[in-house]
Amino acid sequence: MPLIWASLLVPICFIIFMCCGSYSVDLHDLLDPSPRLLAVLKLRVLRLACAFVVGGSLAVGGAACQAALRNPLAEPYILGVSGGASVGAATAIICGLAIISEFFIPMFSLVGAVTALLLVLAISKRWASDTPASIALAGVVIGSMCSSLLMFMISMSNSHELNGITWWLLGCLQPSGAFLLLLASGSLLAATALFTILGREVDAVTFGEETAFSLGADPKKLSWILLGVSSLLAACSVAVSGIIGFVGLITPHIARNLFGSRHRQLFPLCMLLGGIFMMSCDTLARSAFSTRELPVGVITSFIGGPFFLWILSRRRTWEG
Amino acid sequence: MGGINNMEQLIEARGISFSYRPGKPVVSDVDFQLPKGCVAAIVGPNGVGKSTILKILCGYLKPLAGEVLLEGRAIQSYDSLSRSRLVAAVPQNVYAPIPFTVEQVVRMGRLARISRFSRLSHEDKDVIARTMHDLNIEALAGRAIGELSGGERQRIMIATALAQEPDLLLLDEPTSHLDIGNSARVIKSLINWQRKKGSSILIVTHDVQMAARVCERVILLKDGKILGDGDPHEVLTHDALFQAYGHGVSSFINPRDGLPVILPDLPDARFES
Repeated sequence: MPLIWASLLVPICFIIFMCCGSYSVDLHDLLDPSPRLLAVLKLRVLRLACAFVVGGSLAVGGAACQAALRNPLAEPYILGVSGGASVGAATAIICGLAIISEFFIPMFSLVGAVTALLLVLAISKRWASDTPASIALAGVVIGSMCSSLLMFMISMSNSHELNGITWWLLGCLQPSGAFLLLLASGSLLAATALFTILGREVDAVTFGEETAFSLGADPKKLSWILLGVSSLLAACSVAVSGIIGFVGLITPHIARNLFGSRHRQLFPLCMLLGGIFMMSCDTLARSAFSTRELPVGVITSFIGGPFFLWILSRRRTWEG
Repeated sequence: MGGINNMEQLIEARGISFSYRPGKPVVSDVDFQLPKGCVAAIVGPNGVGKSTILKILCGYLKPLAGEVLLEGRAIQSYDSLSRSRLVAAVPQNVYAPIPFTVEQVVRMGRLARISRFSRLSHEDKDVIARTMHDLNIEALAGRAIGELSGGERQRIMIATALAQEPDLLLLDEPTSHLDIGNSARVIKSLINWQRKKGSSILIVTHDVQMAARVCERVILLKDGKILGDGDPHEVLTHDALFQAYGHGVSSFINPRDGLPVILPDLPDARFES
C-alpha cells in the first residue's frame, strides 16, 4: 500500500516542481507551451529526472549499506566512494581536461570512485574476522586519505580551478549528458529490483552472520552484493551530480519509521522517497533566491545535520 | 543410548579440529554422534571451544580437520536452504540494529521454507503464532526488537529458530540472560516442542544443574577435548567436574524428586573479615 501512494506521489511532485523556479509556469501553460517555455521545461525535466535518480540511488544504496554493515549510521559514502570520486574529479579539473569536454569530470570521478572501492575491499579482505567493521574502517581510512589528497590538490590549484572543484564538490544536478543519466537510471532500477528480490535474506543479514546463516541466507555473498552494488550506485550518482551528502543516510530511516523495516518494501520505497526528497531539495535550491541558485548539497546537508544527531540519540534505544 | 545404529544418527562429528590462530587449537579431534530425538548438553569451562563446536556443527565454520555429517552427508555439501530446514542455531550474540518488530523477526524463521516470490501460507502463519504462544512472546509482537531486554530478545531468537521447524536445534547458552522463571519456562517449552516434533536439541550451557536435569546426555569438555560423554549422572561426577573446572562442587539428592542437585562450592564470605 505505501508503495502505491509513494509511486503516485512521484508524478504529482514532478509536475508541481516543474512549474517552480525563477521562471514560473502556470499549470494551464503546460497544456499549450510556447517555444520559450518548452526550452525551460526541457531543462527542468532533465534536472528533475537527474534529481530523482541521484536521490533514489543514494537512498537505496544507503538502505543496503545499513543492512550489510549492520549500522544505522552507514551510507554509501562510508565506503570511501565519495573520497575517490572527488579526487578523480579534481584531477580532471586541475589537468584542464574539464575544459576540453564536460564528460571528463564524470568519467574521472567514476574511475576514482571504483578505485577507492576496490582499495577498500582489498584492505578489508585482510581482516576477514569481522567483515562489517573492517569494511567500515577501511572505508574511513581510504576516505580520509582521499580528502587529504583533495586538500593538497586544492592548495596547489589556482583560483579558476578552485572554483570548478568547489562547485563540483557541492553537487549540481543539471546533467551534463543524457548518456550518464540513462546509465544511472538503468543501474538504479536494476539494483532496486535485485535488492527487492533478495529482501527477505537482507532482513536476516541484519541480525549478524551467524543468525543469517542459520536462517538459510548466505551472509557473506549477500553482504558483498549489497556493498558492491550500492557503491556502484553511489559512484554513478557522484559521476552525474557531484557529492551530495546525507540523502543516503536520511531516507532509509524515514522510510523505516513510516512504513516498517522489511527490506522487500524498504528498497522500492527508498527509491521513490529518495527521489522525491532530492527533487524537493533541488527545487528549493533553485527557487529559494530568484536571482541565484544554491548548490543542492547546502539544502540536503542542512536538513541532514540535525537529522544525524537525532539518529545518534535514537541508536541507543535500539541497542537496548 | 544403546541399540541405535549408525543409520539413525542425525549429526555426526568425525575428528573435528579447529583453531582461530595457527598453533592454538580451540577444538582438537572431537568425535561424537547425536541420534534423532535426543536432548543433549555441552558443558565445560569458558573458552574450551563449546561455542566453536556449535558453529562447526551447524556448518557456519568449516573444521580444519575432520568432517561433520548431517543425516550421513557432509554438511558443507548442503545448499543453504535445505540445510536450514534441518538445522537451526541460535548464537549467543545477536545484533539488532534495524528496528524490526518481534513478529517480523519470528517470521524470518520461515525464510528457508518459502520461495522468494511468494507470501507466507496459512501453515507458515500457524507455526509462527504457535511458537510465539509457546514462548510467551505474543504480547511483544508489535514491539521493536531493539527496545527489548536481553532476555526478551533471547526468547525471540529461540522462537525464530523454532519457527524454522528444524530436526536439530543448536542453542548457545539459551538461558544466559533469563531470570529463574523465564529460564524454566523456556526450557519447558523447548522440551515440549522437542517431544511433539521428535527433533534433537543440543544446548551449550554453563548451567550444569539444568544440563543434568533436562538432558539425557551430557558432553563435558576441557581444553577442546571431550572429558566425558554420556548419562549426566555418570559424566557430571565430583571428580570430573573438579578436573574440568578446577573447582569443587557439592552434589546431593533432592528429597523432592530423588534427582541429584549440583552446586558450585562458593566461599562463605559472610563470616570472613
